[in-house]
Amino acid sequence: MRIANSAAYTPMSNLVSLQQAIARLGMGVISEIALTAAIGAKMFNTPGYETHIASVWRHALATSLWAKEVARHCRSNVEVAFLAGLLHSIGRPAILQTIIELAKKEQVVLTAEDIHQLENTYCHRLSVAVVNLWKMPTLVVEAVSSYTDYNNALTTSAQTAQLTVGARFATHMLTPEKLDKETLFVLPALTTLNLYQDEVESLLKQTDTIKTRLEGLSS
Amino acid sequence: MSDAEFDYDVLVIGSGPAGQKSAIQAAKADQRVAIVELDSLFGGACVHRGTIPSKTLRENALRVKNMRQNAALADFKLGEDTEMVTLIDRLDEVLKSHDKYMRKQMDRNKVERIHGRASFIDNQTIRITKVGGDTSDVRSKTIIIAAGSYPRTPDNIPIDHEHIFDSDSILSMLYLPSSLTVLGGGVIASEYATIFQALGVKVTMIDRYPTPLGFLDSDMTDIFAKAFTNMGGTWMGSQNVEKVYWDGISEVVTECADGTVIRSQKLLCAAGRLANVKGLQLENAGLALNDKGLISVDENLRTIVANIYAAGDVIGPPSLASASMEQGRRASCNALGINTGTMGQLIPAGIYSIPELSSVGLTEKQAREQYGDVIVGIASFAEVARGQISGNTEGMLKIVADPQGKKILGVMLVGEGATEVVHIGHMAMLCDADVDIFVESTFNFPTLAEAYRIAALEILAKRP
Repeated sequence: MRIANSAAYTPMSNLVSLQQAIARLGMGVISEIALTAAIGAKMFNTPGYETHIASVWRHALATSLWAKEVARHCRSNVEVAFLAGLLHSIGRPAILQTIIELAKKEQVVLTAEDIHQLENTYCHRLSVAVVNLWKMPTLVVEAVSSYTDYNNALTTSAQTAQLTVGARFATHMLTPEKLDKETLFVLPALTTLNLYQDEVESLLKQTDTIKTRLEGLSS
Repeated sequence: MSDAEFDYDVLVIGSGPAGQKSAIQAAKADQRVAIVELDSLFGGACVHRGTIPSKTLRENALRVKNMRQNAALADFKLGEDTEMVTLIDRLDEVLKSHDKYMRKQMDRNKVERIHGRASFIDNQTIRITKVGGDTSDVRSKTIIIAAGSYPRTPDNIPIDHEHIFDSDSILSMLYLPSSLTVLGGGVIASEYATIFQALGVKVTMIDRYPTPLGFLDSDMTDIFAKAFTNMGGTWMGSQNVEKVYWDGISEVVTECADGTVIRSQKLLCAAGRLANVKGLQLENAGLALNDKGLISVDENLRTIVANIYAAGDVIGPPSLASASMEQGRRASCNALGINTGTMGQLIPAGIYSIPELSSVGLTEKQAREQYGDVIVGIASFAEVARGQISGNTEGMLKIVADPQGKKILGVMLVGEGATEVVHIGHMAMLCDADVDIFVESTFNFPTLAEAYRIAALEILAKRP
């Protein structure tokens, strides 16, 4: 909000909420601000896990860019998709920092495997807590909350499925060895979104554009 | 060819208003019927992207407008960060019950529902492609194309569904914008422009024609335009839009040919709709689109291929859900040799703007061209007690009669309740009643229907 209130962005007004900032400035500017704040300020203190955190952020950012394109194709809200993508794993670095700090305080020695297990166990719950705490729009909160179970999303099954597809597309783009193209084409979430094979193919043609945007935002 | 060689007697492509009614009609005639829908949701664009969502938003817009009008009762203002989801809060509920009702109706009539994308192999064979890529071929004696329409995108409008929307994506906005430019002056543009203006959005409507809704009489559209500007909206007629772009920061910029530049937070392009036939491979069935991008049909809704019919938006105007339903029913009746009854050309039109407009029969302009010196009777809603009671005084009703002042040629209304009240005139016209029927009948008091008597009395007084 401090950056959003700077003269460069809002010369004539004072913004008091993130929602208001989004409404006034548009997602393009807000995402730029959010990323600058989050990455530029080195938000989390996780010694020894800096590379891991960087890759988590990179995946979140790629997810947001893919989810946005999927939403655009589906004539759904691109801002919700972008925000949900960006924040769906926000709990991961936060929980990691907490675990490391607690282990240090309690003088408990945890293996890397222990830490990853704890991280995987609690990251979703913390992500949901963060988007609620930050008073994100209702649809974003619901999409992030239902991320691991989009079939049971109350009113946001489409938005949640877009987030799921965005995350899988991001995984395929960043680490194709973990998720190949054939597996990508049979994702159940694609059926939920009613995306036919030629439409998926057409979306994947945007890979180079997404990579360029990702590099632009990461640099 | 024997029946056994066909999977179905009638196969309908599309589950919108036209598709549903054609399928139900064919099923009621004991035919084996299937309906193919490419979307996972049943009901077509009308249900999921158009008519029902926009009318749900309209209901809330009316509530907001009424609360503002009655400042003594409630000092009301929408917050700057009002989410769209709040404004169409009942939509999910409405869609679910509609979906349930439609599915039940299909099941009850034993209509098979097929989820997949249809394409013609030949005039009796359709290939169904499932979402996952699996395909199967089905054969049907009769095929009815009711695939609907999608928004037209002019080359100079870079629709991104983020800042610049079309009528299928406008309701996906996350927040109610502070300002909105609406390109177009037709039904969809007028509906959304007034709905958003009533919600407090600063709306600028731009069109190349001098008045909005130019197919209606100017006295009707004048009232509409006045109501829109009274709410705070801006109408810019006779303007050619040259370029539209997002400035990369916070606004959409619209540049007109005369140098006028409009800036707004979001933009809606409502530049008409095109037949949704992509992927149907019509050519394999011996069909082609006409120069308007539509499927041509004869008076029986039959295409140039004897066993293929078409109904609804794919055949063009009036492109109203009500008309599409009747076309769908008639397409099936015609295909099966069932008497359709008389529908004629008497299709009412309803425009769900704020205020509403509705008409049936000829406009005054059309009537003068066909009948010469027609007689017109007008009743302002301000003259009607119900109009005064409800604060609905900006509307009017107009009856157009033949030069003898007898035959009703057309009825038009502007004002809240117009789309309901028009049916009184509609029924009178279907019964071939004279204008006198409105004078000789007793209407409830106070109702807007009383306007019929006032307008009819004016016609009677002008009779030669």
